[in-house]
Amino acid sequence: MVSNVKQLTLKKKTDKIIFLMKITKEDVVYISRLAKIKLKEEEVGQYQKNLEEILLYVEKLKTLPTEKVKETTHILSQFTPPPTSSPLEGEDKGEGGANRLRKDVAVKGLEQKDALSNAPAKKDGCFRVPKVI
Amino acid sequence: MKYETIVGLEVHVQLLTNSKLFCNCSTKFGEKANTQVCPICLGMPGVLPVINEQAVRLAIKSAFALHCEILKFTRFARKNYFYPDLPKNYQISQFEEPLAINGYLNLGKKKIGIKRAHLEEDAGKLLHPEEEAYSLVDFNRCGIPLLEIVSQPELKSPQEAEDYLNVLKLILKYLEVSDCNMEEGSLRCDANLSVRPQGENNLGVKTEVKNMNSFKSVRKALSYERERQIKLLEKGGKVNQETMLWDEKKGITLPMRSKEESQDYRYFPEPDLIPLAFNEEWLKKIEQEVAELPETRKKRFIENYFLSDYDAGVLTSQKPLADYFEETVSRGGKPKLVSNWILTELLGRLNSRHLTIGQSPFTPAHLVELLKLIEEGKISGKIGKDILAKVFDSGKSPTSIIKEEKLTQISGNALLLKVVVEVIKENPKTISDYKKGKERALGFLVGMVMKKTKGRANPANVNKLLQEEIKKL
Repeated sequence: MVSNVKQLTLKKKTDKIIFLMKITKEDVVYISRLAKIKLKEEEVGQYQKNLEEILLYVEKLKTLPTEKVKETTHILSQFTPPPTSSPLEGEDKGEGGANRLRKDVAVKGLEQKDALSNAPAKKDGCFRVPKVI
Repeated sequence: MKYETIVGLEVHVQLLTNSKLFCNCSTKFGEKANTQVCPICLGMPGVLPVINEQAVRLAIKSAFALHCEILKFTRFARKNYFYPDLPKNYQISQFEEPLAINGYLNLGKKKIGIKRAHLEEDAGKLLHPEEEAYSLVDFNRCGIPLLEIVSQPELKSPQEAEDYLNVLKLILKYLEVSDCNMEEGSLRCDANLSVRPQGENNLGVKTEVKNMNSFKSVRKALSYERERQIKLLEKGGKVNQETMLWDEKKGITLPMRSKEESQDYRYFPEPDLIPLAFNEEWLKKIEQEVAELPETRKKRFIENYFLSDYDAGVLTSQKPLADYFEETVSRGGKPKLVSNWILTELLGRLNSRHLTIGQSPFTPAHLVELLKLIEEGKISGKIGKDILAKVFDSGKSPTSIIKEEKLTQISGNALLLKVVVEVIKENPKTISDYKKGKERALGFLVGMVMKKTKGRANPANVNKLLQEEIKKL
């Protein structure tokens, strides 16, 4: 989580309260570390500005009236409610919403040499990576 | 000061499916590295996961057995972190809407709460060749379905933690949900442990203990960690919330090298998968499959078949074994006899050949036939054991083996009398001992007759004949 969330309340015409997240340089460094991205000093400042703009935009979106809109974490849930009859027997009923499953059948995948063909380094049939322990 | 110990366990079990959780790759153990992989489990761009129905079914079955509440609506979440064993850079797991919550498991008379049980995919296997500057990654295991079962912090000692694991394993093996083999990694366990002065209400600071490879080492690691924490507190120190690694060889726990940043997995709903919604009918069907758990079946065996607590416990420790017993009984075997033969003769033989009861060449039909032959006096119990061994090796029926080897009990007294007289003639010293009142000498003579008849005589009969013949002398 972003470590220091500053809550600024801005009065708008709509009278909605907006919480503005302040992004600090430390937040940018923390996020870049999680994402394993190396940033130069001047880039930190740049991303700080960019991220703040994005968050401000999200705040703006939050002012929209969404009380009657169902929470959407997956687009298909919007179209079909979870089924009441069981499609869980493996066949594809072609419904959206929920429960798309496959039968438990093992199928031969890639050959070892093909699986490793994109690897920058390999050894003994394995992907070789810098030591991690 | 007296301290109270509090332990919570996180157990991962591999579900017994043919294919992985989100792709069709095989889950077979011990194959050549990176030969059970495909673009999906290798995390190649543009691929889409599809949920394995059997994994869901097995997870629900386990959840029912653990008396959990099964959520009608459940979904997967991405757990984000970078590590070479994770090709997508996220693990598909469950977070806010796990498959099941609020269950319990019976530990003797105590109920240990189950906080949650959820489905997730396994990561790949890392190998660290000694003295090399690299690690190797095998993705065969990556994507194999796991059920994570999290207990409430309600275990009060390292021993109780071990008992909990044994009961959990018994249930899951019995349901044929997982083979729970800790050595092969199909069951893994992390433990959280804290201590607090007796009577204190707030929980102490906990540490997480990892890297145990058997139930016994879970107990040993927790005992060590408990002592370490208590010693620390007694000296006026504080317990750090950190992850400890158990060193089996040294018998100690050591803090894991702390990572640069604290864990921040940034979970969010998995956009590539549709949520799961279960309907009542389907759930009921699965619930019926778990109707009788080992505990209940054991009780029934004691009550219905008058078996001892111990015998019933062994017979119900594995579902196929309990089934074998009940099938034999349903075919007419006497419960107590059937139980004795299975426990004393059959199991040992199976173990020494590394066979499971399901692979036994000696079937319930064979056992019923054998018991009938003994009951009818056609063969002695001792010959019965030999026949069991022969059926086991040849797969032939007991009756045909008896015919082939002429093993039927000598019932005609004429033949037996001949042997008895022979034995008496050959052992004059024993006879005189017996006449002087040495009762045990008779036992020796019976043994001689049995030997000469290759066990085909009825010992009671031999006893009687011997006494009669000696009197005549």
